[in-house]
Amino acid sequence: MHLLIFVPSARTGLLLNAVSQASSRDSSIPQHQKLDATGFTYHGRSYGVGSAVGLVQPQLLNGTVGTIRNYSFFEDGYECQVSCQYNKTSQLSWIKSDLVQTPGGIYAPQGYWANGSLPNGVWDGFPTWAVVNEGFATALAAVNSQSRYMYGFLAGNAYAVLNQIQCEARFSPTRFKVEVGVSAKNISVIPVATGLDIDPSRALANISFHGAGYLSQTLTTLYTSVLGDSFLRNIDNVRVHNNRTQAIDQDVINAVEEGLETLIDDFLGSTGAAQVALLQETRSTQGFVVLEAYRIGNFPIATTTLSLVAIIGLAALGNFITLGLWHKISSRPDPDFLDFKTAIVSIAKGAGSALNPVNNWKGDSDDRIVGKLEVKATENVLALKLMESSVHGL
Amino acid sequence: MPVMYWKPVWVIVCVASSLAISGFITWLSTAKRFSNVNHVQLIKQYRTYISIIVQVISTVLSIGQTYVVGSLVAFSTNARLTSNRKLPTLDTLKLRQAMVSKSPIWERQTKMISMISIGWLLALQLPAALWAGSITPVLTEAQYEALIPIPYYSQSTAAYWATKCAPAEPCDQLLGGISDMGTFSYVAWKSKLVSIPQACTC
Repeated sequence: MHLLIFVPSARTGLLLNAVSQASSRDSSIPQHQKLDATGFTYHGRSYGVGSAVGLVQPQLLNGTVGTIRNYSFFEDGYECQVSCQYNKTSQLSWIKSDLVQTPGGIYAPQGYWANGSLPNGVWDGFPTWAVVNEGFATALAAVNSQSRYMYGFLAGNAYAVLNQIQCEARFSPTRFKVEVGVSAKNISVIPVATGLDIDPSRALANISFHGAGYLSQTLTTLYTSVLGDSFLRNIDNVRVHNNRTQAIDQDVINAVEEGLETLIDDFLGSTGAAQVALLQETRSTQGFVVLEAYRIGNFPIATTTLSLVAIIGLAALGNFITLGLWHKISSRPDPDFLDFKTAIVSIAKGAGSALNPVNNWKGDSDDRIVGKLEVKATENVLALKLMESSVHGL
Repeated sequence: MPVMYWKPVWVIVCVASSLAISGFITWLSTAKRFSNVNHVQLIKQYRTYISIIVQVISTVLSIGQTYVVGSLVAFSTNARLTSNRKLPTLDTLKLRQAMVSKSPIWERQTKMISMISIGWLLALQLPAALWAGSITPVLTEAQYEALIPIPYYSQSTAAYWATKCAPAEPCDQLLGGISDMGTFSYVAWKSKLVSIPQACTC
């Protein structure tokens, strides 16, 4: 469950939503929407993989058809781990530049140059504006050099908890297992092993890394820092998750780490989705698809039926052997005394009936001649009389 | 037409065909899964009608057992009547006739016979119930291997995915566009502010 908040600047984009929802407020796994209109939701981190889900369908093999319920596959990508700490001797700073005069000095835009350096090199910095002072500005310095990816926060008073936080991001080629629930529209990604490096040039990692810095550059407005606001909301998520009334430094560090990881995951995934949707550049990996299907019956019941049929068959076999029915098949049928007609006629024959059909009866249960005899109960209803039919034809 | 005692022949036919059908259905229930979309939809939509059809078929299939059992009772009764062993009483014949004709005896004087006939009648319902359980289609899942498309980053398209676009740099070719499936761009920091362009209901 996430905090519902209505701040206009908080609703500017999915990427920033991802930052503000990077951490869970309770014991549940954080969820965030895939950055497209397919309606899928990642349960846990996306790690930038699974970006083709919903955009292209799995190909069933050997003419198999069906409705896909869920599927899973392995995809190589990068596991980005961000570790942060406060650096009280941070060398990032605001350099004040020109002030634009306004009538009465209201909302006078003050220019600033955010610049400085991180432990792995000098940051280019960028100019920005703020009203009166730098209180509502946040800059995220991003320096990629010496084979290290480092971030540094430079923030005004409104985002003081973010100021002087420095982070290092590490990209490890990793193989992920991606599980997709098609009907529930959810995706879960699990790192399983070291994977192939999908881009040895590291352009994907570089672009994703710098994307976060560019967001701070473009989303620090004269009045607020949209990126800073997103991180503040995630800090609040961590505070609530840890059941504290006020966030401590470790809460802030955790929230920033998880926020940056989610942001980088989304940048990686966004590039993957663009490859699929814009250039249709895909390759196929083997996976497993679970289809909606049906089967006939239930195995235990089918087995019980087979057993019952077999037992009846064995009983029949035993009966055939003991009664010698094999030999009788090609002979005249035995009279069936459990047949009502046969029983009556055989009793009449045994009692010495004078009726011709009874005398001539050979024991055949479906004999049509004796079948036409009429039956009448005596007046005291204790005896039956057999009579030859007076009407022929029935 | 040659003289033949058909009842034993029908018993053999019933036993053989029941064994064959039951064996086939047992194999189906373990080995086979069907994923045809239309069939699955049919099963989902017409459960009531399917249960009626299953009931009719299972009743027909159960005749294979009830006929055989009734015939075996008749064979043994007739054989006993012609043997020199202990002769059956009329009550025994009445019970056996009730068993063969599948009609219960409701008489206070012969409680045991009544109970046996009722128990027998209930037991004869078992084959139909078992057949119904054996042939009812059950919705389930089936797993198959498949080819799953994932993004590929080839050198021929590196001009898109491997090109960095910083703020205030022209990179229109990387901006991508909007489709029914969402907004796609190689410049995510610039293009993922999707609320406004997707607000249009046109």
